[in-house]
Amino acid sequence: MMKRIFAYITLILILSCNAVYAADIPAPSSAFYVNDTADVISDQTEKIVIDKNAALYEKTGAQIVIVTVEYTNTASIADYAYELFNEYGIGSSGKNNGLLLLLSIGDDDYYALQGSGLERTLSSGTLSYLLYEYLEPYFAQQEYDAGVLSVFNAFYDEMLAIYDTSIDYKEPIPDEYEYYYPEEYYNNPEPSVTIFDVFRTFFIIVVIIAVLSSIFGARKSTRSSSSYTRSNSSNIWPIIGAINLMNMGRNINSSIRRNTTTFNNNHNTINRSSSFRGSSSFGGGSSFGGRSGGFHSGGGGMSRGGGAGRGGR
Amino acid sequence: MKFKENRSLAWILVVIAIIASVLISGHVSLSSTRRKVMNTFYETMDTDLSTKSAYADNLSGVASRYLDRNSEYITNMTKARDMLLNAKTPNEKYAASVKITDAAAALYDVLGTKELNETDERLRRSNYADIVAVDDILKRTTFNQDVENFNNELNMFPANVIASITGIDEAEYFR
Repeated sequence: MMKRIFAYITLILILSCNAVYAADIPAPSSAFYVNDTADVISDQTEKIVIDKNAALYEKTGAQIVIVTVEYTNTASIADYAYELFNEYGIGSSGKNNGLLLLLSIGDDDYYALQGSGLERTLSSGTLSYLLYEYLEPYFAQQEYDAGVLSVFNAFYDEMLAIYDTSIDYKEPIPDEYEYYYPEEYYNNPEPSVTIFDVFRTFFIIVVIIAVLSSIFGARKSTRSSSSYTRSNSSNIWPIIGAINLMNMGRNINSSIRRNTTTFNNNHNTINRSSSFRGSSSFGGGSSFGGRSGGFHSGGGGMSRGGGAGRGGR
Repeated sequence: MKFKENRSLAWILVVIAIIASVLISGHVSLSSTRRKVMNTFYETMDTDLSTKSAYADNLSGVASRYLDRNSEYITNMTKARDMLLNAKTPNEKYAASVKITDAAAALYDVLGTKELNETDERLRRSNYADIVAVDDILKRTTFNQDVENFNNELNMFPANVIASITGIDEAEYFR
């Protein structure tokens, strides 16, 4: 009886140990490519990583996943990265061409791990070099966001070189460089005096004179001859036509002004959206959000566990 | 017919046939399992060890630009690589692999005290990282577990009897 109880307790302990271990590895985020549980990566960097990955995956099947944690809570960051990589299934299942960058902020350590399909082309030595060159300077200064962006771009370029391809990606303009059109620029009413106003005033005067003279002139001529009256009254029509023409010109004038205002508005919209949200070459963030599940389901790569970490010996 | 006349002889022959068939089929089965286990070593791990040796050679190449070619650091590495080259069994290869790792660590450290140019510094770091990475890969293989499973099977009845009669040895660990 005692043996049985002991066996049950042992079993429960083993199972609970496994559960704790599994809980240590964070579940993949909805965006999949970035899982910033330590909260050290800015939204803008996340956006770049996600957008670039979307294009990279579409073209090569490769994926670069960035995960940050407070602590790994395991024997080593290498073991943690290995478990995480295979748990997430980074990269294509056929090509095993995923790459994981793990930052353990509390442990002050990082590790990069490639899928078995990249061992030859993106060796651990190369990874070590890229980490040392592009992440270490920032990481040592605790500038994690800048470091992640820097080394991600280096990994990304390396991936493109491996697959001998290129992707036309427009870097989003940072907010501080965003051009701002003041509200009054495009909502401003027309300038005080335009050339059309001068012409309009001139035409109005001419028309008034013409109308008055034709009215008074017509009275005089009715007395002299009816045929003359007919011909003289017909002279009014060009004047009326001139008034219509003038009104038409006015409409065009206001229409042009309206269009100019619209253009300014659009221009402003383009500027604002292209700074971040308008990276239309990859379909924008929202569209990607819907596709991210698809990217993940296509994954399933495995790593054999030969990565590169911080500082060597 | 003699068999019909001599029943005991017939029984003896039947028993011999049964024992022979058990031994033969047992031998075939055990040797096939053993071959399968050992193939995982020679098909993948042995290749990884060769790659590791190549990285070690690269590191020696960098070191030779800053150290005397006859220095103990470089000669130790050369000896370790020769040891791997001559090793036949997983156990021998493991011993040689450890020697390479130790020699690489010593080379990495001593080169760290020298004024290396940018390219050599990069090679020092990357080659050492590659050597460590191969060790990591070797550490994570299931080979030793497979060997243990096979050896356990081999030591159980009736496999142990068949193995001792037909001459099947335990598989060797990579450790």
